[in-house]
Amino acid sequence: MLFIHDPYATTFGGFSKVTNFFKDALRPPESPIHSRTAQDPNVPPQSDEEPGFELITCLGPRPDVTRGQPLDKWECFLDPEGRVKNPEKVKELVFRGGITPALRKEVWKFLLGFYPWNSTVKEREDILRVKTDEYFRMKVQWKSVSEEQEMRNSLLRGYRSLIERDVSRTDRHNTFFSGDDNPGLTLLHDVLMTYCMYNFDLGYVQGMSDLLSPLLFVTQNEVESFWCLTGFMELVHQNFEESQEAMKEQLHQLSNLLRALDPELCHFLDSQDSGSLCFCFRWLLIWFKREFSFEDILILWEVLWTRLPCNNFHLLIACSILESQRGELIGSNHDFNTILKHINELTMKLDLQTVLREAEGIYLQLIQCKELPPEVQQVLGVCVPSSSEEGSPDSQSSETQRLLGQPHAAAASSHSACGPTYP
Amino acid sequence: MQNNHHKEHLYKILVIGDLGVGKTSIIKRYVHHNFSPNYRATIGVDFALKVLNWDQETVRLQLWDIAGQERFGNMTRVYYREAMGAFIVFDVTRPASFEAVTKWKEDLDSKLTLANGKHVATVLLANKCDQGRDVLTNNGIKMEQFCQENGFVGWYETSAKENINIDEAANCLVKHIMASENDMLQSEVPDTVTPQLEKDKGGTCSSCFRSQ
Repeated sequence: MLFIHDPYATTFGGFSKVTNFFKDALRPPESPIHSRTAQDPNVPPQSDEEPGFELITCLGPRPDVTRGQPLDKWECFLDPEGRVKNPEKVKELVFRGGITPALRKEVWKFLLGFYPWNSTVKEREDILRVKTDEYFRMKVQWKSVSEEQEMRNSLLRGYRSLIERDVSRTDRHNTFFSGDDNPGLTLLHDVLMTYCMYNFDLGYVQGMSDLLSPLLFVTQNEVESFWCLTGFMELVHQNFEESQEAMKEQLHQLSNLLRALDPELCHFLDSQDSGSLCFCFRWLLIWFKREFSFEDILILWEVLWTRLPCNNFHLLIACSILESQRGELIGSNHDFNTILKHINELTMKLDLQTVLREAEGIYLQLIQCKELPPEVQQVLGVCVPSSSEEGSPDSQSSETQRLLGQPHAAAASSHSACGPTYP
Repeated sequence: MQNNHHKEHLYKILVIGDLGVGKTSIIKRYVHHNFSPNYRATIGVDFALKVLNWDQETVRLQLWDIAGQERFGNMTRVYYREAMGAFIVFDVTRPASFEAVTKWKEDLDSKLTLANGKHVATVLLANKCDQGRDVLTNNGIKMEQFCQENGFVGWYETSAKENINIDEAANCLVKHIMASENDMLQSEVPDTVTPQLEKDKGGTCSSCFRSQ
């Protein structure tokens, strides 16, 4: 079962970040953790039939990652007609360091697909004109519904009522939305109502006002914030669907990642009936909006919009936070209830740059692992050979070779080529 | 010494009801003694702790704030487990939120029963009563009848903003929780193991010790 012949294993003693599997294996049998896992036959392999899934022995040391400076000097990235010369480079810089505040208003529109990267200044003027018309055409649709009409339209009435109640409780501490009769509140309301017209099937669901408020704050513009919202919702609209399948799927993916990364933490969570990670629901629904300050959320979201180094980087952010809390969670013997409380109370206490560095480090650490289970590879956007699930030993190792042989940036761009690229 | 007789109780209490009826405000008023009209909408679930001195015993209440949006129900209802009581809240200025009360109650009863098979004690809160009373809550007899028919142990007109009746409602709920707890203790037949709440952890030695 143990793949001790792994070359990493020989150098393990020197690394501070030793996989927990080894910690488990090396712990004397009478130690509490060991005896707990040994005694508890109920700790399930969690919907993973693959035997020995937790025995991932190839996790090497976590690479150190550095963050960069915010993207600045925008004009240097544009050609004479205003096309972005090298979008991949821009995304990489944004991923590494965010965007300088004054440039956000411009660059976000590219990141969120409102402007194509290869559009000229002239084309963008045309796009803005067309999109402005389109926005106001949809806005008129709900604006022109009479009270009497609305009486017979319970769906629209319901959406309006939800929006009204949420607008008044969205980021009210931010000057853009504070105080009574703040025009920012009207903007929130109108853009959300118009979004209902844009996607009436989805309508308004709680959490969407949280997604819009930073967009409004940065663009300071009704039309632009609306189209940025539609771009953002392209990425997350499934989170809000009635079935909640996407949320369940993401919690499941997160659990797969965590199991590969930190089996001991997973064991602990399982032992407290928290293996489903349901306490991470808020994180994933609105991309950590409630966990960080407003300013930090602007950075985190622009990083996530680059879709680097993989589409599911938000799940690695979650792993990074959970890892940072492992000592507190396991050590304080939290139970099902207090785990949630502890996680909720992390709000405004996390250091974004540390979380980002660790998340990228975890990504790099995982993709370098040779025996990564296919479902984890899939979450990370690493192509799994389609011929067979397991793949022949040859194809697996050559895939790994390819990954190990490539520097990070190249690996990242080749991954994004596997999945749907964005924008 | 006094401490020898000092008993501690920990009760998990759910606060549920439609979106925007004031669940978070009621909890904040009760626990932190303040009010803001600008609390954020609850996403998922949250909880706060309140400690009460109750006849020389200590009662710790875990007040669970459950997001009101129906579609997140599957994700939030995992936190119903082990609750001993509940508040169902509606907004007196919004009749639709009262109409939803029976739906919340039915849902609660279907998801949660005590070890003795009974439903958990539930108090109905007619919140925002400072903003005018609706026709329904004006009619106390009708409300009493509604509570009887739907299995509420009581109802209160409350205002988190003006701090009206929140403590009273909580005391009423605690009283009923304690009564049902005593009920269960007395009806418990010795030498029988009741596995309900621990069922997911069953089978290990440590849990056997716990249930004895």
